[in-house]
Amino acid sequence: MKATPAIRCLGLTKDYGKTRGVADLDLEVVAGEVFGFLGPNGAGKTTTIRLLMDFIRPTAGRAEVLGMDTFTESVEIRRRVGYLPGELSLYEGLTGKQLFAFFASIRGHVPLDHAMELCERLELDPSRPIGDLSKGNKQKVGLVQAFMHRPDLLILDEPTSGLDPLIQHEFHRMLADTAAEGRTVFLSSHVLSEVEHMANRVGIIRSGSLVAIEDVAALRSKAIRSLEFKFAGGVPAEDWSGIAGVVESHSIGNVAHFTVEGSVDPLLKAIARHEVVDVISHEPDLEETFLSYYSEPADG
Amino acid sequence: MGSVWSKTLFDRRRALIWWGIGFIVLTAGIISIFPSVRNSPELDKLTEELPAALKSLIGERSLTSPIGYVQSRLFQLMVPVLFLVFAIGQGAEAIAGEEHRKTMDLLLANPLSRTRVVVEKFAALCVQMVMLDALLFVSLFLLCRAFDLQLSTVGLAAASINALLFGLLFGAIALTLGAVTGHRGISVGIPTAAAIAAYVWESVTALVPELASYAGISPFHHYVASDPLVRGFVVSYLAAFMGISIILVLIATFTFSRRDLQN
Repeated sequence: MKATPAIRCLGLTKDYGKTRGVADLDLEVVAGEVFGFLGPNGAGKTTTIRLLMDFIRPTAGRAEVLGMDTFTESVEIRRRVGYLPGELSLYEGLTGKQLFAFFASIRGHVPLDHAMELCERLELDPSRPIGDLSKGNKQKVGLVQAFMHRPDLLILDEPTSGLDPLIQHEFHRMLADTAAEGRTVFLSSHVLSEVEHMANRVGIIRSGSLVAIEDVAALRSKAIRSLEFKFAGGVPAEDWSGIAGVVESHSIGNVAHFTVEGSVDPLLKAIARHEVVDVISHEPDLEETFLSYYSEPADG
Repeated sequence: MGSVWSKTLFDRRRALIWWGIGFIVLTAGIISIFPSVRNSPELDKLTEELPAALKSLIGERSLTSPIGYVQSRLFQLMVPVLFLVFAIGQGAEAIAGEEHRKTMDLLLANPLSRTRVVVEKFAALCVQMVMLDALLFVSLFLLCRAFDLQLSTVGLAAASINALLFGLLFGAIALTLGAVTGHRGISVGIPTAAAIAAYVWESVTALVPELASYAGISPFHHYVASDPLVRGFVVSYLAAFMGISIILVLIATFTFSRRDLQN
């Protein structure tokens, strides 16, 4: 028998007229997995999440969260979901602790010790008024309120925006703990590197349509990245295009630029024969990396 | 701070204290100068000679009588306007304000139905206004004793509640507009314009006999006509104000539960 999916979208559509919105989204997130929801800004990630949370209503189709209908059973869904909005706005007049106490109370007396523990892990001072906090610290308040009642499903919209790298690391450990307890995480991002270490699978959304669902391992093998090498004695006159994975190459002065698909190992082995003074590796850009696989740029 | 309504009160604690101080200062300032007004019969002569348009501004009774004085200086305009300002501001804040500041998503990520949010926000508005109204009544009651204004306690209580329910009606309009549109400007602007129109209409119908039979369109007319300082509690007026407010809040819960939240 198959377990109830944590999230199930059936032809989920939100028509906003011309540009934004989502169209005919079919998606299933397995209970217990960390699912990355990737797409460029404006692709419909937040719209999808707000549909799941019942903040907005679908034009067509429907969705289930934890086996319950997002419209008729929304209150029960939200009891078991932790949510972090993409554009976080908090009650600036409250302190972190007051905010957690307020949410704990309207959730039905959730004990606050887990929230306090999370504050310690994220190095957040909960006694300060939220209005006085930096953007990164506000984001921590948002994370703590999403995690504090140990929800069965976490829906996090761009969770790491504004967090410094050390705290991001701690956040990744919080996600790992959640997954280890068999709970589900639905994580949206516009940066592949943010989800590739955490997620088991990713869904890619573009212009409101789901263009692919992939295992992260499979995705990584398709990643396109660009590399630059600066050679000591000018760019060697070699035929780079023959090397496995190299999609494109050109050189300016003593610097060679490569666009590589999948593993960079064959290229590195080939280049290692020459004297290299500098290497620059660019973050694989989601848009150029993946979207070209799945759909032609429809409207430029 | 265990619920939406108590959190709203918590947020409002400082503002409420200032409003309370304002009400005390206003009533003390006005009542404390009554003894000198009482001994100025020439004031009544002056007001008798006023054109009708200005008379309607101060009510129909002698300014040197306690009832006429309290009516004209407080309940004719000042107190209802203050309640209107308070209620419209808070009514608009309840739903549209929360959406405008983009905290509604976060609030509704909790297991709360939208109906419950509307009802609790309205309850918070009512509780705030009752607190201010109680303060108004108590300070008037004590000041009238201190400065020897012979007014019936029931009349004072009825006038205070009349003003509260009149203000609350416009607060309910603001809250409902916020629930329907999510737009704070609309939620403040339309009830404010409606209140001004209601006041102007009441003045115009008092002056133009041909229009007098249409005076009842204005809630302001009913606010003044119930004459609570003299007649005490007139249930039909109070029930009408309260009933319309409740109907508006029902409309608010219905529409807010069915629309998309603002992004």
